[in-house]
Amino acid sequence: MRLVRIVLLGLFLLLPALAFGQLLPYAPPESKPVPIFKLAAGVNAVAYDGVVVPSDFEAGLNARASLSPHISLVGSGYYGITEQYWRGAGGVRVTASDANNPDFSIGIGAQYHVSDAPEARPKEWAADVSMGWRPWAARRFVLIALGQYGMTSNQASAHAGGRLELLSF
Amino acid sequence: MNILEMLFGMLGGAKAKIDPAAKALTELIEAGGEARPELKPQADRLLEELRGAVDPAKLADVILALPKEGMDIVMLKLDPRDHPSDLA
Repeated sequence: MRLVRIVLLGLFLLLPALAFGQLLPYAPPESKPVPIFKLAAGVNAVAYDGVVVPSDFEAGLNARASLSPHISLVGSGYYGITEQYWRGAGGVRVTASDANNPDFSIGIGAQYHVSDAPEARPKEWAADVSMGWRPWAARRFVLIALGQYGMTSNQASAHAGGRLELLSF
Repeated sequence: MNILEMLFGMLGGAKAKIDPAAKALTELIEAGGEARPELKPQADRLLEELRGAVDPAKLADVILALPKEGMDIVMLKLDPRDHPSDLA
């Protein structure tokens, strides 16, 4: 129940995020080839189901390399604002939904997590299920939700937040 | 306990823990759409995407495509796509 309660609090960001997306400048759809690399700035609300690992709000960066229609390498680095930790993660993600839909996708993957505060963010492999949605297709703003399950800690976590694409090449 | 039992046990545990959050997310989106009528089209579209995103019948095709895509990557034949979930 604690997880659900905190996830609800985090997802309360959804409506302001949608309103923020409306304010972003409109860019018409591009016919350029899809870039392999993308870098985005992001914010997260993070909730764990256990009482040992604290929930938090985070800010940081995400990067991805799309290598094939379904396979991507992903990585991220985030700072926990309340608990004051740095954490990073890297791994692989397989897109389970329509690979040709640029506005909505669901991915399944695994990432290795490291941090400078293992008691707050364990170092371990975690399986994840992710969702990304562009509310306005031609804008660089993406809403995300991510569920993770730590293979060593056996802790489930939920992340909800927004991303603003900064670079692509 | 063999490796498959262990794997399915972990996945079952993960599912049991993630299911309530998924249900809460769906209810929140529905409530958001009702509370803010101007955002209802977006909320409805997101729910529609969530409900129809993964077709179990096509999931096998995805799994079967992975070895070939893996080989293409090894041979540096890259074919990128734009997946918003990669930024999660």
